[in-house]
Amino acid sequence: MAIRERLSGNEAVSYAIKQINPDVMPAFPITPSTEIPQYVANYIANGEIDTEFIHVESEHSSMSAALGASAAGARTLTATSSCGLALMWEELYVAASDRLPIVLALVNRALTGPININADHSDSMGARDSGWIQIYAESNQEAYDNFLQAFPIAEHKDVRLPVMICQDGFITSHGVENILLEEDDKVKAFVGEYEPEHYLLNAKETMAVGPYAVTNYYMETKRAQRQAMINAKKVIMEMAEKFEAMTGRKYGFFESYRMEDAEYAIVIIGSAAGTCKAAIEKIRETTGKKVGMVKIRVFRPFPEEELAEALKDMKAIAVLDRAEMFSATSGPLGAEVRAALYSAKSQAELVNYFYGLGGRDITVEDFKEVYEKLETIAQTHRITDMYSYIGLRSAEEE
Amino acid sequence: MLVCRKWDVSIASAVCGRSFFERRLTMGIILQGSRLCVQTGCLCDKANKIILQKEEKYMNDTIEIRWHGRGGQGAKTAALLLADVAFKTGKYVQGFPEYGPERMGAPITAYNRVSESPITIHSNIYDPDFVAVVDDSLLEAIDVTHGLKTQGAIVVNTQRSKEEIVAKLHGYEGKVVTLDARKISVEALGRYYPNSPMLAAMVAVSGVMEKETFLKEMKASFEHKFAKKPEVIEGNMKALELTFAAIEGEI
Repeated sequence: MAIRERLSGNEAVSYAIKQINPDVMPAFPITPSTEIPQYVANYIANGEIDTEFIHVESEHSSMSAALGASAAGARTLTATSSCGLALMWEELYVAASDRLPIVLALVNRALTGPININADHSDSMGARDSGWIQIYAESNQEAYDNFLQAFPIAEHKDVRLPVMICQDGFITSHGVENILLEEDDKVKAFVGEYEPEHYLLNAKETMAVGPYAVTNYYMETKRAQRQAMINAKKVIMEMAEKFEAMTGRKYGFFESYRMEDAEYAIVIIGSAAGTCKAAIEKIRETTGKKVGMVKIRVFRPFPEEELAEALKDMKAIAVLDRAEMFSATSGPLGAEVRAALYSAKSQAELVNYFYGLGGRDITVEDFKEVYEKLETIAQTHRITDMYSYIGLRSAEEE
Repeated sequence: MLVCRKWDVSIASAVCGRSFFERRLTMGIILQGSRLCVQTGCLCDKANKIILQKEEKYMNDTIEIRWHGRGGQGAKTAALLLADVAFKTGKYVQGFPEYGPERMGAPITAYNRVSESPITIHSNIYDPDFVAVVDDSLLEAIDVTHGLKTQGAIVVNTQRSKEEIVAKLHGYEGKVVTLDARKISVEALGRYYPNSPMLAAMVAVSGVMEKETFLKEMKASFEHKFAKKPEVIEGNMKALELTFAAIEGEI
């Protein structure tokens, strides 16, 4: 029987870490992820786990220490947010290309300029090309569940890639919600022991990690990394099935919500998906309009074909981005979804919105307006704003 | 307690075909258990059935609470405590803060949702059922009644008179409850902690749970929290009870 609890998202992830009892955690504090190393340090101080906690002087160092620990053969994790992730930039690529199965608890927060502590996805979206697997959560429950699946995915012999488990800063990280926790023994059995095939501390097999690769080798390593990402798709689904067998909670690359008969769909990532669900229920109850939502859980690897299949017959689609990429066109999710639909030769109309930057709130009413806009677009086949904003103040309002 | 919404009222009165039905219902609150047939004496079976179905719906309705305080005063803690105690009585809960600049004394807002069914909404609360104001100096700075439902209520921690407070509430027409949390806290604990009195006041005013259940859960939680300082348990419990006594006449 699962344990009924109420926890914040940071508490939930920390609890998962306690249950997993990993070998090494180097970490440096940054809002809103600071509580995670704090809670873990408490567990260690209380003798509840024997994780080696490494105090470092920056995130550049925490990810560097994580590289060393993981290469040595230790099950390794860290936590960070925003500029902390930005300071890890160089090492993120090293972790992925050296095929080190590090897990990073990322609490999404806006990147600086202007400085801001609240949720958006600019930090993780900026790292989307670094070669890390990225899994996002709508709720504290999902942050916990995703974290439990992270090491089994990362360490799988067909994958061996680092995994970023993302949740929205403050909204879920500091929000207390009901949650179901699994018992320690079940978690231990699910996550299993880490037995690396090759590792630096193995005296019987000397090896080098992260050496220089001349032109003759570099491209093949990138192809191998791509293969690992392709393989990750299969492994992510296997772990989701195993997890469902244990908990009854079903996960995939994305969640299709009320999509069985939907004509209009929103595609979104993270905590705002829950607000979108409430809007869908209201709209369906009051107007009967066939609205649905696809919530992306796995952004890397990107589930292109599956997503196109789920969306291709929509009359109109709105993709909501909680990050800019300053292409002067789409946001990161908008571009990926559009590309997926193009490959599937879909005729669905598609618009792209930016929302929630720097923690700007998005409400049920906002979602209702987006669905109304989609209906108009489907009727007129005219798109006046391919890229627009939700909740942006206009000059007149100032 | 059972909170009714207008659209439920119109369905019920349409089925029943009696107009005074509506008047009763639009008062908003009826006592659970006594049901409408007792109160109005006019309920036909068909309407009763609908009311029962709707009752399930009312019970599924979420109670939304907004807390206003200043950084360091514990408005966030109070919201988390409310979530905690409601959770223990079997509810689905949310308790979350909204941070502006991170500094002591800056206005902060915290929120609660309490429901019989899972809550998926992750936005802030703009039309709360209830508002708690931990520091009355905020009344000058912000419109704490913004969006507050008139069938709801606001609780203000203040040493000023109720008239003075009402005058600062931008014409809010709903229930206003004032509470001197300082006096209660000093009497019960010897120091000023507005948290416990404000928490008790919000439980009393919102009716989110029964008084006895609340006190029982809080006792258990204090005994756990202050296992090494049992001397403060009694004081905290006294603060809760003094609060109930202080506002009993107002709710």
